[in-house]
Amino acid sequence: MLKEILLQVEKPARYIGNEINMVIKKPEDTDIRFAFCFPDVYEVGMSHLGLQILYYFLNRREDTYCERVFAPWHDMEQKMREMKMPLFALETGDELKKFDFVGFTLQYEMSYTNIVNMLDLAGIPIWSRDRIEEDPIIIAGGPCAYNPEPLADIIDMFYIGEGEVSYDRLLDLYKENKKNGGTKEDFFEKALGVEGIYIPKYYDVEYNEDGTIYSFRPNNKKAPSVIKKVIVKDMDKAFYPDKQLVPLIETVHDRVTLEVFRGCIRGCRFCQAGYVYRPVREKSTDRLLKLADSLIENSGHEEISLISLSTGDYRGFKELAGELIDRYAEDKVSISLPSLRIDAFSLELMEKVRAVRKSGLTFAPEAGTQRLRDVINKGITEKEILDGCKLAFDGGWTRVKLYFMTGLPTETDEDLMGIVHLSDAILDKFFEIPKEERKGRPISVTVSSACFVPKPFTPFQWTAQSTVDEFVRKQRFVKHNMTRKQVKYNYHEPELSSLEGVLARGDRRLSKVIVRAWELGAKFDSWSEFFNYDAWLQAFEDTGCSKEFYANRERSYDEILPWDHISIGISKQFFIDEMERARAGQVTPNCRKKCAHCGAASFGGGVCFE
Amino acid sequence: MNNNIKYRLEFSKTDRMIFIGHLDLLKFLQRTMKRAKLPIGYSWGYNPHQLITFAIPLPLGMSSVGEIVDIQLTQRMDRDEIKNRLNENLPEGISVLQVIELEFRTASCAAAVAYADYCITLYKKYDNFDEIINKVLEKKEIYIERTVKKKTKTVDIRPLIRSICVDNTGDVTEFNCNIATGSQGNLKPEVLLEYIYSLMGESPDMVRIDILRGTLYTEEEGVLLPLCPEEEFM
Ligand code: SF4
Repeated sequence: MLKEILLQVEKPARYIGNEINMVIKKPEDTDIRFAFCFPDVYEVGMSHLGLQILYYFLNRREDTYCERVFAPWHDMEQKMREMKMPLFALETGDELKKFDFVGFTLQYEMSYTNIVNMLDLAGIPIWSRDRIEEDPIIIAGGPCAYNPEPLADIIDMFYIGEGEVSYDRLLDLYKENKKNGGTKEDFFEKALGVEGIYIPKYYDVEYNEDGTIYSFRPNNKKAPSVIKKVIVKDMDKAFYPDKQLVPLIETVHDRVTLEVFRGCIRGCRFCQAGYVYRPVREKSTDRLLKLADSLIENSGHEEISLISLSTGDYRGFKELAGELIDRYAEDKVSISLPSLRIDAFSLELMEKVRAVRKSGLTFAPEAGTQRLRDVINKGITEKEILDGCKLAFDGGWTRVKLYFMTGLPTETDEDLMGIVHLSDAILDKFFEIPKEERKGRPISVTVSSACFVPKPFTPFQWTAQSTVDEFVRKQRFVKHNMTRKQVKYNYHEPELSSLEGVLARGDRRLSKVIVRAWELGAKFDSWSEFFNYDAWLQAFEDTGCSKEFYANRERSYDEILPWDHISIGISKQFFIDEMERARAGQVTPNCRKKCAHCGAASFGGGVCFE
Repeated sequence: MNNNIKYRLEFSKTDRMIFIGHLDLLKFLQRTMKRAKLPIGYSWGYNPHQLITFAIPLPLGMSSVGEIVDIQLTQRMDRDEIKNRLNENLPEGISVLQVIELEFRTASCAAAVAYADYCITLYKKYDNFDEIINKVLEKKEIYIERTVKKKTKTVDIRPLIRSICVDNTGDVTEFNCNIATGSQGNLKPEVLLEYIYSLMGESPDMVRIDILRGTLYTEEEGVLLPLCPEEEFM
């Protein structure tokens, strides 16, 4: 039957597994079956580093078989529904109901309707309270789990932090409980004692008349009042796979990924990742080189990518990059270095690794004026950008991409004009070069502006997001003033960012909005061809929830935030101080220049103790 | 000129692996050779690539036990060693069946391929299938319409069919055919099926038909020779 279906869908290899380095086990020889679900299409999910790590981490346990599940593309879903074929895991083809755990990774808010859809396709009840003893336990982790509340009525338990830390303990408990004939409820209660585990049903929320939270309290004695994230202390001792699943079809990132460090020293005030992964923890160059060798050897990939939030900040970067280039020239393995700051060294490096074609060079000033860049603590100056461009133009790069955000706190039209001025200044820099000395193709500058989404666990978590209309006006304003023909202006759909803003800072009342939107046809929301804004608006109306309440309302510092019971190790006072510094246009130096005492030193490792 | 040694590999592509398209298969084999640590020969130039040539792409969804690919290695290696190392690195559904060494001047498999065996299973029983095939074979010419780049033209496919034999003993209808495959003349099995079904007043439901490609041949003076002959014939 599967073959018949697969002959009728686009890219059938999405559904067959069988990749290089796929783990094969006999389910009957294991005690725990874990379905790792990525709520997006195969090519996106397979490019995700977290999946690769957790897959081998869980499978290193003899008693556990971790398999993979992705969201079937709409053509496949349609066939599956027609044939009444339940959602299955790629390794064994077994349906999800046979698993002990069904685990979702939450990488972006706009994948939430896919989670609902996948549960439904698996024949598993959507609401946590409707599930029975025989149903799998639904667990979720990943960056969006730091505000788990919008999914609180759907997911049974959340894992807050890095997978390598608490999964062993959790699975041991599960196995023991199962052996002793314990119920699911028994297991949940025991799991309350595991660090980083949050089980929403053991907490009650009461609301004020204005819709804000009045109280958030455990209803079970064993439930901790604050759940602190768990993180790896020593990256050299932490598990990292020496191989990688190599897909049989092209994926978004078709290469080996080497994680250089976790966290970011920079402290950009809009960036959630920069705070939730604190503190910075590096791997040693020795360990990285060893890992690189085995990853390449075991995958046969032709490209290795050094991954982190800001790879150039790695202390051993020069040494590492130089050594990798020397090592792999012979084997025709190229090295890709995303997220590099543009300076003389990195340009020279890029020249060497050939990973970046002469066409594209990327800067992320995020804001158009120095004033606003100081507000968001983006430590890059106009001079740095222009100097970088000058070097690049001299080296023959002629295509510049600039990333900005609109709707940042305190933004005025002057800041928006700054976007125009900066791109013009870059053009001028190019035209300063005498005609006969210009290299490469004609200059082109692409300006992309995203819509700012305030995120939990950032200093901007209290601020109001621009409304869709405001975003549209701002985008038009920039577009109108962007008059030079060498500059191309792209902008994101504000409707999507607006919903992201709702879900990012939402509370548990949003579970019903998500489910209702799905009922009305929303899925694959982050794919513009599927994005159905009307379904969402209808869902808010049908459930009596206000979109504006979540997205466009400024909160006061003393309001109970829906994620206050989660701790990322950074004090609320630090965020308040940062917000005030932002208002005053004061920058905060990065972790290596001067510690700002955010609180993350409590984890006892990383950059705080360098 | 280089000092590379050319090898020809025959491999099967079955089960789940039939859902991998041609370009993905190419990349997959290149990676497999790297993992198997073969001394791969690369092309010269700014963007070197592995020297690897397929006889003819296998359409997605079709199985095969006779795929042919030519590769180049920088050192001579034992043929079994090549085969074993590759097979250790291949997932279920693809396996190398044999390896032969080629003289450097041998025409590439892509240039040489002329005919292919196909075994086609129709998951439905057609009692009069022998008669229909006899009718096909008795014809001197078979004109069908083919649309290439929006232009329709009529072509005679009869010369492209060497043989068809039917096995109608089981509870499904099965037949083997040997048809032209390659740049000199090419008949897709689907096109042949389309024609056979038209004689029965039906059109084929490709989802309920299995096509297995077998041996690929080259033609020398009217005689068919397997592209990758077994050792004793060499
Ligand atoms: S405690 Fe200091 S060094 Fe550590 S993460 Fe916070 S600001 Fe950075």
